[in-house]
Amino acid sequence: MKRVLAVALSLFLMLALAACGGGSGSVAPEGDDGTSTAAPAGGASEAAPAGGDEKDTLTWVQGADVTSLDPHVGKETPAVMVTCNIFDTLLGKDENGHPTPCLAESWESVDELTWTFKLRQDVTFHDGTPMTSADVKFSLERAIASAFVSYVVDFIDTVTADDEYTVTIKTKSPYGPILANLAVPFTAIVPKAAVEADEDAFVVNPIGTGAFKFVEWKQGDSIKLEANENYWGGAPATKNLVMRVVPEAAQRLIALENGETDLAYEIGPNDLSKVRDHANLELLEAPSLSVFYLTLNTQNAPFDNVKVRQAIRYAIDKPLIVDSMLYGSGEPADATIPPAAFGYSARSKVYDYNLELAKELMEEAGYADGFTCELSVNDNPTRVEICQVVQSQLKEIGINVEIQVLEFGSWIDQLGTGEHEMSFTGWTCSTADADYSYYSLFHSSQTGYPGNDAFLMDPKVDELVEKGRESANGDERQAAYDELEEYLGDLTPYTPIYYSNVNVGASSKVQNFVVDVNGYHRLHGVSVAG
Amino acid sequence: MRKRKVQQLEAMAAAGGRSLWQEALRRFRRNRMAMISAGFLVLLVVFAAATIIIDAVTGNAIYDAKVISQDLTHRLQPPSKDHILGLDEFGRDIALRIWWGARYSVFMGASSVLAAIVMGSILGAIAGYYGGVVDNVIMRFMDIMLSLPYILLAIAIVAALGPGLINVLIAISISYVPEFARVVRASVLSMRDQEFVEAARAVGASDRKVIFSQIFPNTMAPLIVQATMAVAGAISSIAALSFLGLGIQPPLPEWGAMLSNARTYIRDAWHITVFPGLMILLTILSLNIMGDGLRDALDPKLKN
Repeated sequence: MKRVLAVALSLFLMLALAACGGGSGSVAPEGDDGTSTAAPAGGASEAAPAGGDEKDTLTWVQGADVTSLDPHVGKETPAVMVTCNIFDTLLGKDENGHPTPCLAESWESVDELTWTFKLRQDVTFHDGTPMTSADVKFSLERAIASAFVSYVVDFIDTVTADDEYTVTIKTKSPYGPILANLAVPFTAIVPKAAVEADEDAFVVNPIGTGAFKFVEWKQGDSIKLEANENYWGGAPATKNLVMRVVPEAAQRLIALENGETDLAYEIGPNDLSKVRDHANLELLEAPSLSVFYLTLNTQNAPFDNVKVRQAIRYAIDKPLIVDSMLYGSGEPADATIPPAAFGYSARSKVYDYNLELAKELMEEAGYADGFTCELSVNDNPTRVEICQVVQSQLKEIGINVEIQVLEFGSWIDQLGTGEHEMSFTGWTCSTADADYSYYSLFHSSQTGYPGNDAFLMDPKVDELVEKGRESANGDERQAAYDELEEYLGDLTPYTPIYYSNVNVGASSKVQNFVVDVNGYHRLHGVSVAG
Repeated sequence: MRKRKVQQLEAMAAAGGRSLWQEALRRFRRNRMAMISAGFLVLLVVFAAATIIIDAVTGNAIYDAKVISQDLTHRLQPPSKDHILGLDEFGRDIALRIWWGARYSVFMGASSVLAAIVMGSILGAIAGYYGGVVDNVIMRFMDIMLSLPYILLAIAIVAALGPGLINVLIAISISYVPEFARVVRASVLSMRDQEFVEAARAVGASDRKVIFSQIFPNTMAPLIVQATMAVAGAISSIAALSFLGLGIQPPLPEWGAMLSNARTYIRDAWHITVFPGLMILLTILSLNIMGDGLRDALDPKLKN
């Protein structure tokens, strides 16, 4: 009797469990749709019979979460990867890096200090308000006032709204790269009314003019966007976008292989060949405008000593790092300016791997017995590995490096506030104009968050950086940069290691995806076959 | 209960002419799996100790040249005649790294548990011996600590103190204190009112003397069993903390850290994850089997 009861009970339990499993399984997709679109039922039924050609949701995975959804704050690549789809800038860039119309349909230079921009008249923000010159003036002034992105726009003296759709920008002095700078995503145009009404609400619920509207941000996990059907450039090809944060490159690839995601940004170097060789995947790769380097906090001992900084440059074997750790996907770097950028100088001092020289310099600097220092890095396995190589190579000259792995946000804060000793970091020359890198990384007014995390403050560097940016004459600018690069050769606040490649792993069902050399991939025209 | 058991054991021992401990040792020896495990652990300790001696004698020469120095041109090489377990992601010999890394698991595991035993025993003995308010305060605090999973508690402590060898040690020992406090308190409670304790008190022995020379030796058996199991837990906690990047920092060849670094290459080079993982597994398994054997030997009544 008891036995029968036991069997009956366990059967009952199994049935109950099975029912639960089925229940939750069928509920989940509904929940997903419900959160991503306003009318879930309509959206789903519309997409299915429309031919079943294209999926209505495109998913991509990236290594780090957004630092801020405010385009005038979140300038780090992982943030811009998302926000460049929500916001637009005055100008765009074509594949050769030349300026193209975007929110501004035309522009002209009145004199060497004055530029006028005619705005498109058919642009509305996601909240329905039309975009006018008042928004442009407000946005650029907001960017100038932002401690994070000011360096991109602080060449601007005044912004005036001439009429509802005309803006005049006066620069403090002639400024060569103006058009390139106005195409940088952190000069995005934001709605004046909404930001002024409640700035805190705007930051967590951004409103732009871009192809996609913001839906939801689960911090550290995912972001959902939906198509802006009224986009001035035409409705996007895909209805919903989902960004998921997957810190491990190996797991991003696995997600791509399993079909959990359609795009995987930043495939790990050791996985590149797996994507290339995979029948259903494609590897999209291009030399980037990014350079990776060690930044040395020049404010404190021992890195305030030029000889120590030089010794470090001689002690690092860059080609070995590129060949082995990056599987050749990248180029050893002798400068912080990418060769493809305007203003790149061939006069950079080349520090070839030379242990003897490095040891001599350490001795001259008074550190014959070496020292101990911390090397911080964000929690990206490839970067942590490169730090371990750096650790091993610096040990050869007596520097005992302790690696400190930090979460992206706290790492950015550490660099911004100057609490680091040495850090492994990267910089993207977003405008493809050397001024963008020189001004942010080397000018004394840009220390901390804007980019100068070596905390270099050198009057001669400042003078040359200013000389290079305050001229519209290409030859004059190049001459200033040549001189600057020569001067920086011995000063060497940064230790460039390599220029990276930007890569994206894509399912072969993904159509019209274009790699952005800055990593700011725009998904307006991208669709996924069903 | 315990009183009866002790009497019984003493009777058995007297009958065979052996002491309690000799009897336990005899029982332990008959357990083959436990003996194999013990043998493995003894070897591990000897090997770990050997590296410390080698480093001391050679002034870290072998360590610097073989264990942490990188050879990037030969990275990820599979096992071969020259490198029986292959080379890792930085071209370092995995066999040597595992050998040199044994010290972290073995000695850190053991010493963190030892520290936990000392702290836990003192707290447990005080709680059990005095009872009342003292007992309540100490044990409720221990209960709070016990309500947190060890690893979570250890992560919290390391997060507060910062990563590194000593901090990991502190974190793990603190997280094991309540367990020992409980075991010791239970033994002390059962022994507090026995005749030999009363006798000691009657002749004027101080509380401290009664606790440490009368009661404490009688709590050893359960403590040893508990300790063996705890060392296994501690080793896996050390490995887990290092895996999470909170423990022992690169380039030190800690097994958990090796596993963590290797995980990027798990699909390219099986050998760099398998061997460190296998060593962690074997060590913990041996400790657990030996712990079971010890419990059977020291506490035969529990066996069935």
